[in-house]
Amino acid sequence: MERINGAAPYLPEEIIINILKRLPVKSLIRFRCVCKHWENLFKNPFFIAAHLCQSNQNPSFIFSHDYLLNTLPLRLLDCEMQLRDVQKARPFDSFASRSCFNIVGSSNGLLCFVIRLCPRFPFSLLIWNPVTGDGREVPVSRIVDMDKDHYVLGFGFSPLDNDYKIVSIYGKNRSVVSGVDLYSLSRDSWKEIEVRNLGNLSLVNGLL
Amino acid sequence: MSSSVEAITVLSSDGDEFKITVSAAKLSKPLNWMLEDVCFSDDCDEVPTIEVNSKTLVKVIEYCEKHAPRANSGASDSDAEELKKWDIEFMKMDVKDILFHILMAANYLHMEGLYDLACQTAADLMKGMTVSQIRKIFHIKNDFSSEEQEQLRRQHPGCSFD
Repeated sequence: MERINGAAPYLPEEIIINILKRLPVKSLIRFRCVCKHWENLFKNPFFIAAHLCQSNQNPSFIFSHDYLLNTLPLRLLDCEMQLRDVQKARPFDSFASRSCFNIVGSSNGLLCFVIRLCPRFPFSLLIWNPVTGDGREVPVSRIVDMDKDHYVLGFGFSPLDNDYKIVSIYGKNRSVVSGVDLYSLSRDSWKEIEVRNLGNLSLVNGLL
Repeated sequence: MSSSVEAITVLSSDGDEFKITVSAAKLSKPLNWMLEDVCFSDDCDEVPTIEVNSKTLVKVIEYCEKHAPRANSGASDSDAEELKKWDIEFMKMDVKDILFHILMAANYLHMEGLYDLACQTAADLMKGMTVSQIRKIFHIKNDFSSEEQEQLRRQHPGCSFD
């Protein structure tokens, strides 16, 4: 490639995208400084979907071996069976270092955490991209009385509207559901959903 | 098409003549359609032009001839493994300086295998390149203003525009 010089042909956009979607995220992060068009392209949902589709051929696994936020004991097992520590990034700085976390779910490389100072404390939610380091703290949908209320959280991607969602189910006890709230990442807001007969629910692949 | 014809002659964009076997030409959809539509027999003097320069066409035909037996008959796993090794060597050779031409040719000739291989090779080579090297090979101008560069540097410490 060093020998590709001024004589290299101008490639059509279609071919350039086909090359770029094969690059690891690390390279994409570096190459967003190439030009404004590339910087915007890497944020484009269609490009992200194409890149994801390509990289899904080489899946990675993430797991935690502790629950304390200050150490963020997360490790990534990549497709070449290499184990790497995941670096904690800025989005976590706003939480007290003694907080505990649980992974609510993961979808397309995004992770959703529930973070709280102790089990009886109100919780915060964080959606985080461990590769780019970008994250967003999600406000909780309602004040929960930790002594009386039960809640279940789920995180997933909805291909129908190309959006990431958090579902939060509240109940007075394990069998009576008192409300269901749905958070949309693209709208950055919660809305309450009408649910009549909610039988036994379970999360599969982050989806209800 | 006469079944007796085993190879056809094509012209490159530079006007040079090249022979390609019928089974190898079938790897390209447009060439395959042409084979079905046009009469190629010994007394037919029609020579189609392929809009690819001679240097690139030599490599494209080499790829087609190597992959044709497997594409037409299917092959064992060991053949697939051998072919993979051959692909890596093929992309290592003097292809590098014409990689973008190969990409254009594979796209134009609808050759999925070669197109994927060339895209992956380009991506692998890009991983080791700097931002300014990338701009040079893709003919891109740095259109960030100094304020925008400063802002990106603040958001993403360590990012480089060179």
